[in-house]
Amino acid sequence: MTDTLHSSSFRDPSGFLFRRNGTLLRQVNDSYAEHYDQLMSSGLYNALVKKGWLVAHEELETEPAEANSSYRILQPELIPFISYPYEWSFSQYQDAALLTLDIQNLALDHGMTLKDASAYNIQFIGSRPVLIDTLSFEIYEEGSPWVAYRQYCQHFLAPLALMSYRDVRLSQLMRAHIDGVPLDLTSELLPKRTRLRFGLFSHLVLHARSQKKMEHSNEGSRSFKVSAMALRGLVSSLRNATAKLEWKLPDTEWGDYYDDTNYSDEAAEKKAELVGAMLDAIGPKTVWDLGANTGLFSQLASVRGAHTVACDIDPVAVEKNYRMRRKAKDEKHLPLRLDLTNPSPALGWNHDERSSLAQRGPADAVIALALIHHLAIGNNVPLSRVAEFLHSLSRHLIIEWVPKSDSQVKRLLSSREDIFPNYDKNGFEEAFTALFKVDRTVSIEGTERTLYALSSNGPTTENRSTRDA
Amino acid sequence: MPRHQIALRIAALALILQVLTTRQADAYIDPGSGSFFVQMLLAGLLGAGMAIKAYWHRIKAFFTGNKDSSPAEDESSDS
Repeated sequence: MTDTLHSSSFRDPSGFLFRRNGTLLRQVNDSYAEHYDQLMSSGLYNALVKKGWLVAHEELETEPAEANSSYRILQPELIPFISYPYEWSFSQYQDAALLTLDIQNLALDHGMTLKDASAYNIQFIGSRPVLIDTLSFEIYEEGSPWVAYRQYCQHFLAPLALMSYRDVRLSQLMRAHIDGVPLDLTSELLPKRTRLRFGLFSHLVLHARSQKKMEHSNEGSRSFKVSAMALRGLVSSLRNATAKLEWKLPDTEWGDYYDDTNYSDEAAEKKAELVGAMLDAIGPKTVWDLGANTGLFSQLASVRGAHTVACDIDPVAVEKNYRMRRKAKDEKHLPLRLDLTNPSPALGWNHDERSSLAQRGPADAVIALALIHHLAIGNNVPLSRVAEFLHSLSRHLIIEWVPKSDSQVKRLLSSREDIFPNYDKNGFEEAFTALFKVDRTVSIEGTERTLYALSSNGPTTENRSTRDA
Repeated sequence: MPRHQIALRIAALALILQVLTTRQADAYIDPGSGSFFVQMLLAGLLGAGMAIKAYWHRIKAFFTGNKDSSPAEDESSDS
C-alpha cells in the first residue's frame, strides 16, 4: 500500500489529503477531533451537504496514512476539475465569495466558525460552487474575532473590488500572490471613488492602514474581542460589500462572435452535428473545449454527460457562458478564462500547490474548433508545436482546420506579413499525424474548413511522460 | 416574557460571557494583528447596525405609534 501525500494540503495541521491506489482520501488528525465531532453532531455537516455547499464524504474503516495522529479517514466526493480563482470569470468569483460568507453564517448558527477563507477551498461542479475543505471549521468561542477575516479580504473582496472598479483582468493578481492580493496594493490600485463605499473603504483601505500600523506590533489576539452580534455584523457587511460589486459587460472582439463567423446557420448546424457524432464515437467522460467562446459547442459534450471545461481567453465570453450555465443550474459544464498561449502554470510552494493546466489532464477528449489559426498565425506557434501541446492535453482530439483562404485567417494576416509558408492542409496533417492517428476527416459543407477526429498515439511527448511518472 | 426582555437577557448573558472568556484564537493561518484591530474597530459599529436591524420593527413602531410591531403581525395586517 503506497500513500502519496497531496501537495496542496500541508499548511493546516487538522489533517491532510493523500492518495491511496488512485483514491483521494483525507486523514483527520487527533488534534482536530473535537472540531470534527462538532461539525458532524451539530447538524452543520448535514445542513451544508443538503444545500450542496460542502463536498460530502464517507468515513472509512481503513488503515490511516499516519497512524499516531489519525482520528478518522474520510473519502470525499470528487471534484471533476480543479480550477483556480485566476481562471474564474467575475460572477464565478463573486459566487465563490458569497458562498464562503453564507457558509460562515450557517456555521455560526451551529456554534462553529470558518478558520480559513481561502479562495482555493472553493471549487466548481459545473456552475455550482462548493467548499472542498471539510476541515475548515472550528468550534466558535464567544468573543473571538474572525481569524479568517484577513484571508477573506485578500482572497475575495480585494480581487473582486479591483475587477469591478478597475479592470476585470486584475484577477490575474491572484496568480502572482499565493495568499491573496495584498491590501496595500489593492488600496493603491482602487480608484478614489471607492473610498465613499463604506464596505470597501473599511475592509480594504482602512484594513490595509491598520495592517501597516500594526506591522511590528507584538499584540497577540488575546486582547481583541468581537461579540457574536458584532461578528454577524462584520460578516453581513462583507456580504453587502461583495454582493454590490458588479461588472458591466463591455463589447469585445468576441462578444458577438457567433454572429460574425464564416458560418451560415445551416453550416453551423452541420458542424454541430459532426462534432456531436465524433463525441459519440469517443464517449469521453471529461472534455476540454479550448477556445470555447460562450460554450455553444461545449454544450454538445456536456449534454452527452461529459464533465466539460469550456476555456476561452475572453473574459466577456466566459462571463456570458457562466451566467447561462448558472441559470440552467448546469453541473456538467464549467466555463473558465484561460490564455492558451500562456496557460496556468504550477504555482506555490515547491511549484506544487496549484497545478498547471497540463497537470490537470489529460482530458478524454479535447475540442479545438476555430482555434488553430489563432495559435499558429496569431501567436506564431509552428503547427508541430501546436500538435505537441494539444497532444499533451488529450487522449482524443476533435480539431477544425481553418485554411488561409478563410476570412478569419485573412483578417489575421491583413495587418502583417505572411511568414507562414507551411500553414496549409498538408503541413497541418503532417504535424498532427506524427502524434495522432486519424479516425475521421470531414469537410464542413458550405465552408472551406475541415474537421478531424484524432486519437493520441500514446504518451510520447515530454510533457506527458513527466506527468505520468 | 415579552420578546425584548428575552433579547435583553441574551445580550446581557453574551456580554458576561465575553468578559469571562478570554481565549487565545489558535489559528493556523496568521490572522494578523492589524486585521484583528480593524475588525474590532468595525465590530462595534457593525454590531450596533445588526442590533438596530433586529429591533427595527420595534424602533419603527415607537416612532410611528404602530402597535403591530412584530414582523409576523405586520405580515398578517398587510393581508
